[in-house]
Amino acid sequence: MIRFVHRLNIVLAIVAVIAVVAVYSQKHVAELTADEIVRIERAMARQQADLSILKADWAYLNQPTHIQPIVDRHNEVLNLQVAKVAQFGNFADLPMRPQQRLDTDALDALFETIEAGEDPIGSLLEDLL
Amino acid sequence: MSAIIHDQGTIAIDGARKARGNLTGARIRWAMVFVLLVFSVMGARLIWLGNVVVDTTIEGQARDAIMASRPAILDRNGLEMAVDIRVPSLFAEPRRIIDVDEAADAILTVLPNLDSTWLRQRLTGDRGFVWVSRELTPAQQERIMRLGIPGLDFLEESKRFYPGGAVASHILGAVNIDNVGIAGVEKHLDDDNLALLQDLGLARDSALTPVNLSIDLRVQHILHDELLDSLERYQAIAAAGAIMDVNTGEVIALASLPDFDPNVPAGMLQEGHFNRITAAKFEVGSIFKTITFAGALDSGAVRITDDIDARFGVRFGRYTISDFHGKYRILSVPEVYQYSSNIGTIKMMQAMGKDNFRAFLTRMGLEGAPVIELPEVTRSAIPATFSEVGAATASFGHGLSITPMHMLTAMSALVNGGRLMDATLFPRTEAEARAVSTQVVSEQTSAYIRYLMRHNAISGSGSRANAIAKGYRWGGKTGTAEKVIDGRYSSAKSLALFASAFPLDDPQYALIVLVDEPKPENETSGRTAGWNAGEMSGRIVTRIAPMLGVQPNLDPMLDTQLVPAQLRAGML
Repeated sequence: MIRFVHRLNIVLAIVAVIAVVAVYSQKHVAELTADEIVRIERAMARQQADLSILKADWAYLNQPTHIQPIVDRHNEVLNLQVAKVAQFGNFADLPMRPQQRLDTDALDALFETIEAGEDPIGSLLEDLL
Repeated sequence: MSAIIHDQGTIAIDGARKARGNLTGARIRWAMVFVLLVFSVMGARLIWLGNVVVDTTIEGQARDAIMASRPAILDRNGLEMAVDIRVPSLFAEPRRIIDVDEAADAILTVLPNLDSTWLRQRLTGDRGFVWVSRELTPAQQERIMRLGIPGLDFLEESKRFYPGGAVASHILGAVNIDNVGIAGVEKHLDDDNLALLQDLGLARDSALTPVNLSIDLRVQHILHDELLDSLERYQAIAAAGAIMDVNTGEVIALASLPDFDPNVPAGMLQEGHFNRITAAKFEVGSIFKTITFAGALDSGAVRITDDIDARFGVRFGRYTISDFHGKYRILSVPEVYQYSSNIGTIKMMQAMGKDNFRAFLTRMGLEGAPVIELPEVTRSAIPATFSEVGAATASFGHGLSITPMHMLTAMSALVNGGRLMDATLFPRTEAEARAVSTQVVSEQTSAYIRYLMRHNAISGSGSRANAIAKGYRWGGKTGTAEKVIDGRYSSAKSLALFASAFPLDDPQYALIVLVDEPKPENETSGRTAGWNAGEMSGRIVTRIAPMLGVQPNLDPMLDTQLVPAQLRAGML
């Protein structure tokens, strides 16, 4: 019995030492992770700040108030003007495609000769070869 | 190990085991007491920690409120009008600063515009948080970090940025350094429970959905650009304009010059930089005749085919009201409008009756402040009851003051088939607008007004502008209101207005522009509204109509169809 208690004590002592080491290392790992979280959060905040500035920059560059002076400055080359009424049109104003007339008589004649067993195009090709 | 216990004569001998058992029991009790003690210390510490109030305020303000962002404001097409940018702000913890002088000198190398004694005083002491300088650039932040002074740190703050600058200043308003809206839509958003979200700390980062306005930034830019041009062209002291979708009541553009840059809100407070569309009331002059005409025609007292006797001025006691461009003959109703005859308009108002006329003004929503989501509004000034003279002058827009926004809203109702709806700066569909609208004049009256406006553009005071805006079936009414200087109407200083709409065969947009104290552009040009406000309206329409999807059409049939059937017979 005493021996058993002895052994138990030794086992418990070892378990305690292992537990202490484990808890300490866990704590250490947790601290490292917490550091990393802080680092990533900082990076995110910084990137969000950068992003917000880039977005603002993009919005600024897209503003009509920003584009107009550029257009004015280069108007000698671009020659942009307010659209005149005559420059507008709509689909209804487009003329219809000119009607293509099929020469039905000639086609009929062609089909008849093919049906009769003669192939005028085939014989043309044969002549070429 | 044993113990002999003498007890009442009997002798009991405890065995070694029992003695050890007692000892173990005592040890366990001691251990329990010890563990209990340790746990109660821990528990007490927990309760104590739980009761510690962590001071999250920064100089009296909640930290969350300072870091809170505002929703981006977009125009109707999704272009950004106001965005948040994250900027670093420098703060110090004076209790952690070791050498105040060294720290102050170092900071001053980066931020030389700070006052040296103020800074030293700020860094001395035992406080936990003081602002040193807010809203720095990333480059400044980098340089301060390199100084490596303990007790200095940065906080990311949201700063409002308006990429368009002054272009929509009177719509957007501005925010103060704590990101609280102080004017315009920004203030409206705050009053509209954004402030609550910020206080709760919920308004953080990108969690807020952007707010869309009904403004079209391209149209807004053109309006602003043309107003700027008019200030120079006519050497006016101020100019303003607004454009509204007549079917939905959405304001497409609104600008008033002189204005300010919302990024530097201090400019807002300068003299004369107020919003002339909603926060200023004017005697609008002849453009008001459109409303009188609508009232008279809608009441049935005057028909479009009637003739009005405008041969003689109207006498009220010692005063006689006569015409500016007097014809002094019998005029048809369209001619009264075309020649802007005061006499004719008074006669039409009198046919309707002055009390009916007064009631009609209320029906047109001209009472009180204009309804729009801007805090900067002013109430109109219309006498509660009209005297004979008062009604007569009111019929052509004198002796009563309304804001241009009142006029624009009323004009929209007069051309869109008679449905009056509140103006809004937020997107609204036609069905939603219809649900909140009230029928103020009949469809027929609205058709008459459209005809009269187009008629005035073809052959009246709008003809100069119509030549510019050819093809967009545009028309409206000019108004040149003489200003009251020292109690008398001055002929040298006037306010030129133009209220118009296009395309009148299928009304979509109404616009009002005003030029304050215009001077003639050159020797040959006139001073009245047709020359300045009118021509400017024409230029605006040619530029914005293609953007708004209004196709030009030169077909003369469109104009002919606008002519009421009763008049068409006479023309042919």
